[in-house]
Amino acid sequence: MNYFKAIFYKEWVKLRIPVGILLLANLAFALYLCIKLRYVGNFNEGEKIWSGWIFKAYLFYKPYTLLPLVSAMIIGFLQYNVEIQNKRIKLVFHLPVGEEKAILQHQIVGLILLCAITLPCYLLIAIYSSFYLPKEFIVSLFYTALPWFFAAINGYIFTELFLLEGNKLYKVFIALLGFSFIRNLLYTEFYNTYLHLLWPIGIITVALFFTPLLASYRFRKGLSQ
Amino acid sequence: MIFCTRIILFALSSLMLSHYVPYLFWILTDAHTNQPYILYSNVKEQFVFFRHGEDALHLVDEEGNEYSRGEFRTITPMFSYRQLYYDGILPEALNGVKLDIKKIEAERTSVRLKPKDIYSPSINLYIVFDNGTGSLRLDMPEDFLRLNDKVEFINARTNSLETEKSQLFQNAFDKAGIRFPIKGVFSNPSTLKPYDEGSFIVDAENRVFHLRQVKQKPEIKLLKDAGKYSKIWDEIAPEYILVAEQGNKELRCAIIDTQHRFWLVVGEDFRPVKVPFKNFDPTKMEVRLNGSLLHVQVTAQSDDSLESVAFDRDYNVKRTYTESWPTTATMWQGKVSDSIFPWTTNFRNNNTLYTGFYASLGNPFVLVINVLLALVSMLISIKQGLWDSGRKVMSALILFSGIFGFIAYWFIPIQRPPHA
Repeated sequence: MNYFKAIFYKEWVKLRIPVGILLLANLAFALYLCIKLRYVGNFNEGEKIWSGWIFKAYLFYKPYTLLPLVSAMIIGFLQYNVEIQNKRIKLVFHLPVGEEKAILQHQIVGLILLCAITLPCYLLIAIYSSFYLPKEFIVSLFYTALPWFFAAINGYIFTELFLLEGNKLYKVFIALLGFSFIRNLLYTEFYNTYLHLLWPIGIITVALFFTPLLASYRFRKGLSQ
Repeated sequence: MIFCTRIILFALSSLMLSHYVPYLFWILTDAHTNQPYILYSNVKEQFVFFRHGEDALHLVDEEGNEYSRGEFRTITPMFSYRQLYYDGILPEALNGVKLDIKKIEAERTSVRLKPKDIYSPSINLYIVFDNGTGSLRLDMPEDFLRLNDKVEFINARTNSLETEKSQLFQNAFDKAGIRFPIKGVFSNPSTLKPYDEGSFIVDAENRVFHLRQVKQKPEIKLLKDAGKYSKIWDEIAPEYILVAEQGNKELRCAIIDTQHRFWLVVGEDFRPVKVPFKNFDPTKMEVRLNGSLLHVQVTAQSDDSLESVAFDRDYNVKRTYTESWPTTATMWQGKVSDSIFPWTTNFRNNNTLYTGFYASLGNPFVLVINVLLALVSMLISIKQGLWDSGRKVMSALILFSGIFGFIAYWFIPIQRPPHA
């Protein structure tokens, strides 16, 4: 039996409506930004838009910094809050696939859903802006927005960690750690500012992906009191 | 795996604490330094300063003689000429040069270059203004120059390649002998400037070319061949070129070369003038160029030092000055900080827009504190019955992470109950 498919189906049933709403909200916001670009394009010459971007770093997609993070935290909350209530997650621990794999597969499902929500929006912004702006813009969009996507993934992970952890002191610590780390991924005064940090942030994000295993382990062992 | 997750959380917590704890420390201890502002006095033929004392602003010269505001104005006529003129005490002439207010205004130049201007992200698309439009004001061109492996002009209105113009410029580039890949293109993209100097292009062989567009046609000049300074140009390999058009059209550009020497390029024949800085570091120092009817002063200033050079208008060195002062690092706050924090991490730096891990290390004494903190963490863990493999590794890591690791240590969720 393919347990991942089963977990995916279980999570999909649980999250499909909120994910659908989040997808629509994200798409609507991305579309709004594209319409705004069109509006600006209609009233300004191309060279003004280009020079505003190149020399003054006017990034029309900058308002899309926080929405992926908020969406990720909502997914994380909806995915794990239900599991925590009445300690329902204990059922997951008893799946034949094993506790660690089961938790990681839940997270992979969460990340797939996060990608399903945010990537079409990035794609929409990239495709639409390519009508107005050169290929350099698309490359710059990738480098500028990638830290925001990493922030979203980390927001999801820290939300999960926060919910699975039962000890109030540790909860506060996890919240502060998550806030301080994610805050440092969202400075965007200019484009490409995280260019030298993308690999380190990526590595830290991959490492953090496994940290909810500690919370689930503590939950199972009854240490989360 | 569970063990690893604790170490990951410990490492990230230490990293975050190494940013926020020192930040809090510096905010609470309120340490700051006052930097002097340096000017050249054509009357005293030496440098004079605005210095912030504990109580007030002091106006002094190199020897420490203090001046009142009025006296200070009279010894810095090129800086205070408006007030002197208003008060009716602007001298008729100085050093044999007639002081005419209009001429003083016309010859006044002011240029500033910060490290952030050099070491920040940029997009490899450039503006080439057309100098032959007949318009009094500069118009932003419709197209942008891209120089990846060939010359391309991209029209911003249609977002498409301008084939004909690209070919025209490509031919001019080939004729001038510009070698690809281009190492840098430097210009001033502002339309709010008195005229357009054009662009400076550094080719694969470190040669500097001057590109102007006149009536849609390219004009390219190899600077080495532009005057009688080819030998000097041979030793300049530019890392950054500042283009800042000034009203008197004397300064063509300023160059920081790969050896971090600072050059001014002046006059019709692109004469390179080396500014004799002794310890110029463009990654930390801001450069200010202030020109006047009688002199040109170039100052490089960082958080802890300044160097200033005064030239006459033929660019002969008149006087140089170097000064350094204690920074917050040498104050008691800095000493305490260095002794308790094994390192400090900043994610942003005033000298660049790039985000990064900008770390500064503490002094060796901090290792003693680290050892003590590691021992304390170990003893308490043993007493609590929590001396498991995770805490053993974290205690060992406190030897490096010091107080940050020590704080994080107590907040990393435990893996088994005490005395289990």
